[in-house]
Amino acid sequence: MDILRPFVLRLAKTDTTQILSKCLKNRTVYARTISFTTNKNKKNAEKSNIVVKQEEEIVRIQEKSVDWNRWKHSWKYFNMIMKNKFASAHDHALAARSTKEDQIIYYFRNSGELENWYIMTDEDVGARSWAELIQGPNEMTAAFRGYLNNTPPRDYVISNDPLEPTPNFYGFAYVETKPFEGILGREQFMNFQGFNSFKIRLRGDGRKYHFETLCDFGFGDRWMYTAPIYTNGGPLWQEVTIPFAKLIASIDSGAVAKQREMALDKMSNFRFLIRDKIEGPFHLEIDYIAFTRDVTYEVCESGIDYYDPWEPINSNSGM
Amino acid sequence: KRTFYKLVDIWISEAGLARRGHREFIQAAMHAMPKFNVESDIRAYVRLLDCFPDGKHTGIHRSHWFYSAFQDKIADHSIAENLVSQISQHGAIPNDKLFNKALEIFGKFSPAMLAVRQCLFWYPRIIAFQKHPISVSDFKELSPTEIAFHGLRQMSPGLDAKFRNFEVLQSECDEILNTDQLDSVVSIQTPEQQSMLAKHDPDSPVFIQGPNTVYVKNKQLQYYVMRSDPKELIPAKKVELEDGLGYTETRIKEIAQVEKDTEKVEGPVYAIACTDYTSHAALRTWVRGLLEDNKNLSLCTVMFQ
Repeated sequence: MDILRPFVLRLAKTDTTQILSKCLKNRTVYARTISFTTNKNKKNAEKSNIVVKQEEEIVRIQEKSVDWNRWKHSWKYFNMIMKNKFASAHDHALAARSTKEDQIIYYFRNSGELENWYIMTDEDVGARSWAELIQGPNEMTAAFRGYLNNTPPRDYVISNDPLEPTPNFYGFAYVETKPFEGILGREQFMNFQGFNSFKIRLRGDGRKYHFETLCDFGFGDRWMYTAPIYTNGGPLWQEVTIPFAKLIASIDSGAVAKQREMALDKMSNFRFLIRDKIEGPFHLEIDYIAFTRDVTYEVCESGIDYYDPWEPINSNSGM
Repeated sequence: KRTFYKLVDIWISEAGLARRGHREFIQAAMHAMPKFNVESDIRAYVRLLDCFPDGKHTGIHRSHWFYSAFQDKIADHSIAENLVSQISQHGAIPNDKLFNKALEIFGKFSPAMLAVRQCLFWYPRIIAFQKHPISVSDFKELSPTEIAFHGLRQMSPGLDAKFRNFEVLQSECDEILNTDQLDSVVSIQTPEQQSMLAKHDPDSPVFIQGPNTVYVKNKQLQYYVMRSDPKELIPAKKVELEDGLGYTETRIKEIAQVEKDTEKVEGPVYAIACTDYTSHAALRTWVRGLLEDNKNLSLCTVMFQ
């Protein structure tokens, strides 16, 4: 391994295995390009229990409740394919979407497009974190940046009594789109039909941000569908794809036990939220937000990947 | 950490079979876990579940879906809910032992079991959003070079990158650092970046941009970037496929029109490095180390920003 070569050259008298055993402590070493052991060192390496593995791309197996071998020979699978691949042709506007592979919703080339978004922070509750949304240094992207503070407001009393503990206070900040208004102030909704997933181009600082959309089912039922984005940080841009089926339904930033499919006709908001418990500055640059259609992504009949494996228990106990 | 388990053993031996005062003890132990450095260990939480009284006639077990709403001892179940919320808060990895033990004590139809089920259900699905997950307990034991390795792997995409660790000698650099800080320079370079450096014109300068910060879980890292000014892009040739039937798809692709706008304004990145040094002498060791693989660098001029 290239990391270890300078050690070998400059400290030729000492044993390399002693250094490795101190640093690594019987752990596996992931070698990306070259195997590091020569014939001499192989014996010593076996003694100190160091294992060298070639690093591979992590392939994650998603647990699903559906038996795909039996499911594929059924009428329901055929219907599911037709639903996911072809757009619904009810409206003339949607028929045009079948010709589109992508659609960009927001991109921040002009400074005038920042007026569609507004900021909310802790200050309404009494805490001290601040944030702002400005045009980035490129003059092509939007920058959401600020400082998170975990000091609680005066109203929030933390009891040090171990028998009645109160949860700790953590700061938050978010950027949200303004709602669309129609005639007489009535709220208008967006339509996600025909598409399968989001695609976002980001540049963050390594922190965890949440991308959320708000779905209005009617009669006061408003659920936020969230997905965490673990940003890479650094100078390079990052592209994130989030399929609709991977969004987690939540109420007041708490996941719902019984997940439900979103109503694609009634989506009203987008939001970027930061609420990790680290106190310090943050910045996030956004290039574009777009829809895409991923034909190879299979989804159950329920339309969402989070099934309820304990359905008889959770429904009978009334929780 | 061992003192925590000893305390629990002493309490169980003193309290007896009835386990009097188990609610207060469990709540006090949960509050004191960070002081013993045990908050991210699942074994401590499983051991605390032994403090609940065992047996058929304690009144805690919920076995029927209807009568569970009318039974007593609700405080025991709420304490278990707080315990499970603390597991997810501090980053401990839930276990099958946790599930089985809670099932024996609380029963299937209890709110405590719902919390355990949710914890076991969501944990792998939230970890699947990360590329290179690390547990909280493993991250505390890492040395600064290993944290730099994780940070650089996080910043640069792909699996074919080359990592290097260069020592900074005291004869060259006069700066003194603490023991917690990185004494050496850890750098990363992908083969694509190497090929771009080989094509770079030696007439135009190469910049090393100053210290920036990156978050790796909880910690901040300092990194430097080797970069040049943007160049004029050569547009790729369009390959037109022949459709024998004469049918042409007119599919609109909007992302492809907008994807490469930032490359006109920002130059390409050639290498990234992590250190805690702020002086230029430490960065010269990095440049000298990169000369082995990149021979075009010896002809270029390097400037610090």
